[in-house]
Amino acid sequence: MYILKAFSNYASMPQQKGNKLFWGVAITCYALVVLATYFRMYVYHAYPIYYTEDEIPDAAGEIWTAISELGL
Amino acid sequence: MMCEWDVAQFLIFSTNGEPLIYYSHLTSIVIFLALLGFTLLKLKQWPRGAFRLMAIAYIVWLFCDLVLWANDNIEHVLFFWTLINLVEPLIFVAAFAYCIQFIDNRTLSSKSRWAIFALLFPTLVMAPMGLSVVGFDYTTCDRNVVEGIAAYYNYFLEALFVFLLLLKTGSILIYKRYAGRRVRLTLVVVGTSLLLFSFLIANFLGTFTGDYVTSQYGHIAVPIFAAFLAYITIKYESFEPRILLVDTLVVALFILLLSLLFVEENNYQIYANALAFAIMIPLGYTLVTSIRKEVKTRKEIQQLATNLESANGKLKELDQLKSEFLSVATHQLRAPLTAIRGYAANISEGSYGAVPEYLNDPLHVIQESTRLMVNSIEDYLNISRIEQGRMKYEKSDFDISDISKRVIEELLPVATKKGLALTLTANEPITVNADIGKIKQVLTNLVDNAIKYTEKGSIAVTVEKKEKVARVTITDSGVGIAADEIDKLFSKFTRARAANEVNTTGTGLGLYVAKQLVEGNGGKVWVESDGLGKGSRFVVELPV
Repeated sequence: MYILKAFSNYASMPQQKGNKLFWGVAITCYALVVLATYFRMYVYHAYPIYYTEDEIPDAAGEIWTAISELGL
Repeated sequence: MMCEWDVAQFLIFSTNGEPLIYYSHLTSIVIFLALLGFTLLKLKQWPRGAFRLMAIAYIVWLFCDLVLWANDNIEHVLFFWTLINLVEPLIFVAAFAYCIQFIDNRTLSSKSRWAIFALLFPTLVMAPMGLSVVGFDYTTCDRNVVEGIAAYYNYFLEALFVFLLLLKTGSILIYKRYAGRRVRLTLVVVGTSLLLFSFLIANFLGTFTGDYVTSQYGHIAVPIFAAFLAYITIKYESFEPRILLVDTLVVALFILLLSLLFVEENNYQIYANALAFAIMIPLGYTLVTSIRKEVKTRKEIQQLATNLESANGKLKELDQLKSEFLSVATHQLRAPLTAIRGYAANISEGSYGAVPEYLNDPLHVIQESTRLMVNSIEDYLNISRIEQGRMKYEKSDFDISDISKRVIEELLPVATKKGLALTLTANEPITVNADIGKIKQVLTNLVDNAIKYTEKGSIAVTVEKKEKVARVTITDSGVGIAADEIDKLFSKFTRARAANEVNTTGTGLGLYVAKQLVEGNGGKVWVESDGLGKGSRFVVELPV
């Protein structure tokens, strides 16, 4: 309900204000993501290092498997 | 496994990467920086915002990629690789937005923007979760990372926006509303599509084959893209490349001379450079301002010429309308006048019974007035025909002496009534090739004028052959013409001052029409006079 109300308020906003809101949200999101990535890499060192082929997860293979399971 | 990697200086300089990387990336960065500079210029149609976003995203991408190639630090590699995966779809989105803005002259609607953001949102969510860059691949010393599902989702997004751009290209070629700007729009969209397509393919190949060196050739489309944009800008933006070139030259000279001041050790060279630098500043300023002024003036002149051309076109249109109106109006006036004139002549001749004595004078006035009016209308009709290019000349061979004789015979009663002697001297038949009706009209007009503007004395008409022309000279002892009026006499609506004093009913069109008719028959007409009160000579020459 609150989300719907927020969207209806946004629709009735002047264009200039709507633009500012969009760029505000977009820039904030990107800044937060970059910050989180920074923390992941440099502060928490939360990343695996794969020394052998067997350890590496096959993301592409997983996608194809998922797609074939969906019957697409 | 132990890998020996070079330690990178300033993040991007090391021997770890192929030299090709520096050529491809640094060149592309410079080109995009130049394109960013382009957007600072006052361009009329450039969608700056989206274009800047695309250029900045591309520059960030290239810089991050250089870090990946050069750096030995695992954390840097992982971090910058994640940044690349975040920035890469932005390049495609911004390029798409800038093309749409260029094509449709509008920014993306608010809904479209939020929809695009929603498409990008999964990438944002997956990046810090480790689904974009999963981990470091230490199975080789290539310093690669293991990419997650977000990377593949990026490829889907990129392919989607290339596809949408291609659809837009199709619409440009199909829809009529783009007809006037089709070439320009196609160039923009093709240039951008080429850039995105080669970028997408290069990255895709790099990811799937692991051959990231070959994939760098994808950036070869960057200079091509820049060339497309530069061509379009110069051709369609009224952009003056001379200003940019001169500005660049002056700034380069300024930097060079300034830097030499700090490099030279010899005092004399320092003094010489300082002097050159001091001279260069006012000269450079003068050069830059004068070029700008010249370009501005030229543009203003071009604009004025365009305005003048447009005004001229409108005037021609108005003139044409005026001629058409004149033609229609005079046709409408002529028909009733002919009837008045005919019936007045019939009454005068007694066709409807004897005319009382007291009606003779009024009838004569009616006849004379209608004759004058018909003549005036005939002049207007002739002008209308001449100006609309509808005047037709039916040329045939005839004896000009004979025609002159007939004119004299017709006008002799008028001259005699006024107490003037009207004589003709024509010793031999002279055959000319012209429109007999129009030449008779001209001669009648000139002799009639001579009678009108001669109060006493005589009018002599001479017909003679002069080499390859037949010359008719009408000499009168009338009011004469002032020297300063002779040149203007054959112009439209022009009458001599002396003529106005003697006869106030003239329209100033007779001589103009006479000139046009004679010239239309390949001849010429002019007037000579010794001055006011000394008579005049009108000469008509026609080819034999």
